Amino acid sequence: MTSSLTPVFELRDKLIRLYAKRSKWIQALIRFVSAFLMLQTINTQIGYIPEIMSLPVILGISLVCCILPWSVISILMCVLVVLEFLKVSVIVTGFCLFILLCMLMVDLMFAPGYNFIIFFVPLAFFLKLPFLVPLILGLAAPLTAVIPMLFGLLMHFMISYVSSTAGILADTAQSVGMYEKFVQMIEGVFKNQNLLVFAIAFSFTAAAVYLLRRLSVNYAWMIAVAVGSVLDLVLVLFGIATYTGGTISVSAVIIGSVISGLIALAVQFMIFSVDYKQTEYVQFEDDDYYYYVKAIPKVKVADREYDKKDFTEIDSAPTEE
Amino acid sequence: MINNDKVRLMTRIQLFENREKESVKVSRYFQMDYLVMHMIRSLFAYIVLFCMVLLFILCYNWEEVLTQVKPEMLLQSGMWILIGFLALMIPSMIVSYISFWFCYRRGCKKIRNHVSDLKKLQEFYSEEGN
Repeated sequence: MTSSLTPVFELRDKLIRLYAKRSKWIQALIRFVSAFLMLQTINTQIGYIPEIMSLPVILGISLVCCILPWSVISILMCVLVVLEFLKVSVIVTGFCLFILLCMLMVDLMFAPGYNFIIFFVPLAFFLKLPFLVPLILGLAAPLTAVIPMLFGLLMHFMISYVSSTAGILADTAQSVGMYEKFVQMIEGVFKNQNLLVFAIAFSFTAAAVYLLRRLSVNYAWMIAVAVGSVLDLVLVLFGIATYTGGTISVSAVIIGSVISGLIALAVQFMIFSVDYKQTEYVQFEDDDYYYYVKAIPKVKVADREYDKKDFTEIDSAPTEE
Repeated sequence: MINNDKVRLMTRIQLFENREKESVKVSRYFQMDYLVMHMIRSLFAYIVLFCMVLLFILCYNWEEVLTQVKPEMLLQSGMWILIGFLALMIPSMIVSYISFWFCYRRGCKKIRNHVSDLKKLQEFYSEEGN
């Protein structure tokens, strides 16, 4: 089994070396791809302003996001969503601002951090991998990160609802009054059974993965991902059977859960279990000198059991005399 | 002449301060000061959040409020709102206290080695002074 995993270990070591040399470019690329996908998610569902959501503009915004921190990227996405909603209706915009303000207040109260997750949840739904979010969150973030995840879920269902009922909610639609639109909006989002099912499933999954991966047992993270995937699947299937009826496809849930579990295992193995250090630049001074220091990490190859075959090949290699 | 050990130490100190800005910020406060400051902030945020949610619920039930609530019921409604405010405030503040307590402990734990590095640097400066 070890020999079959050797290429994977080698790939991981190559990634560590590559990150140590080119961390800034890799981080910029990750930001670009994430921003592009988030903008495409927003554009696909609620792209009501073609001037802002055309491909060149999306590419331009994604390029700018390469150099921005994650918190600013999430603020930018919030602004874009609010602008899109403004095109639909003042009521929808007000509701969105209300949700965002609530999230800000909760952040001040409990300091969960990780507010940038709010747009990764709609992105995960767009990529048909919603179960990946609680698994990755449980592996990488503290328990309080569940709060922005739940707000992300709310954001996703709000965007979905607006995209399906924009014609009725629009300011130009005269058939329904403002108050009725407001009530319809609230009931359409908060009384959505799918929201409740996913909120409960995601919360319990993230909590279970977080608690299990901190155990002092071998392969705790593997057990955490496996249990998290199963728990997620069971809770969502139970929710489908009890509350939502046939609005969520069972086969899609099962396939999505399995694929998310496998991706989470791969991400944990390749990324979270290794310390990816980057080249850093620091400057300081003392009484005599100014110092400009470039700190390049030493890449240590992880200790692993080498197959006997490796040593046999070395031993049998012809030696020069 | 450059002292290599001192440069290594200063580089390590600066790298830590660049990476762990939150921990450095946290360590500048005494525990009680940090917790009190954040509890006051949490209380203000809770009051704003409660008012926003209350207004939201009132707007949602606007027709019912206009037709069924009478002036003599206002005092009773106000009392129930106050009871709800206090009932939700106590567990929220407890959770907030625990959350910030963990933040403080985490920050202090990370800063321990940094503090010993700063003391070593102080010794370097004392030796150079002598």
